[in-house]
Amino acid sequence: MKQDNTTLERKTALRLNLLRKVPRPVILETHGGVGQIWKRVYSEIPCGVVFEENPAKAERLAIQRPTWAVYEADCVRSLRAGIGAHLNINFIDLDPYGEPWDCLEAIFASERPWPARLAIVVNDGLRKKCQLTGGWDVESLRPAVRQFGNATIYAEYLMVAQWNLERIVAPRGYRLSDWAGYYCGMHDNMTHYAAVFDLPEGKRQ
Amino acid sequence: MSDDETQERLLLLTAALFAVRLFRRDEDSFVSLSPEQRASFETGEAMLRAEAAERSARDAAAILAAVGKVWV
Repeated sequence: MKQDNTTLERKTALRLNLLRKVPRPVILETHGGVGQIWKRVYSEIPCGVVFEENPAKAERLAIQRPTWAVYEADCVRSLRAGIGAHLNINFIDLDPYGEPWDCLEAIFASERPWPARLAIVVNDGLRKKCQLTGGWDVESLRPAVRQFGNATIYAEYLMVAQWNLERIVAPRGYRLSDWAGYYCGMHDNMTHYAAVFDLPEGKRQ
Repeated sequence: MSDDETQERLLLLTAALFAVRLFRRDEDSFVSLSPEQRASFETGEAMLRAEAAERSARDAAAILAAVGKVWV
């Protein structure tokens, strides 16, 4: 899928708003690309982890942000293996070309420190596929298809995304405190959303 | 030399040139790094291996298979 950068301004605004809700953010960026978001949003933040599969881009990211941990790696496999657990990450930024769900599931299946407040911001490119085929052939949307029916997934993708995100983080004890989202890009095929989750008092580490 | 042999030699030569190109690209990838970045890469590599060593054999294999280079 070709990346759509016409939405860069909105991506930036969504992240800047979310950053205000997290004290001392430590960032996990799952798809670093060429570091455009970092330049606009995260350049003043000293701690973070970024993944990028492309070797040339990964090296560029390492030069760009010397105080971060930069991994030239497949983020889904790495996150599932617990990589990045040396930092207390409390702000997760997902900007994949397609679906974010495999990556989110990998993060929450792994062992790592879980902060009292966790922010998640996503550029989700899955909506178009849901229009063409419904959600049934996306493994991580199957529970949503069972809950809402195949025909609802495209039409109500934002609501489905909120439900699915809450489902994925729930086993770690998180409860949704804040949510923002909208459709954008060509034919509204992109979905951007941001969420703040909090751990109830008794479940904090 | 038959046509088949010529073809085979050409294929081998192409494969060898491609391998050399890949190797050179890998070497070149360090050219733009400062000494500090190079050190950071070496530290990252050591950190990753230490992290893998603390895990089960299966997790360690997953970590080492998933990651190419690391800078910390």
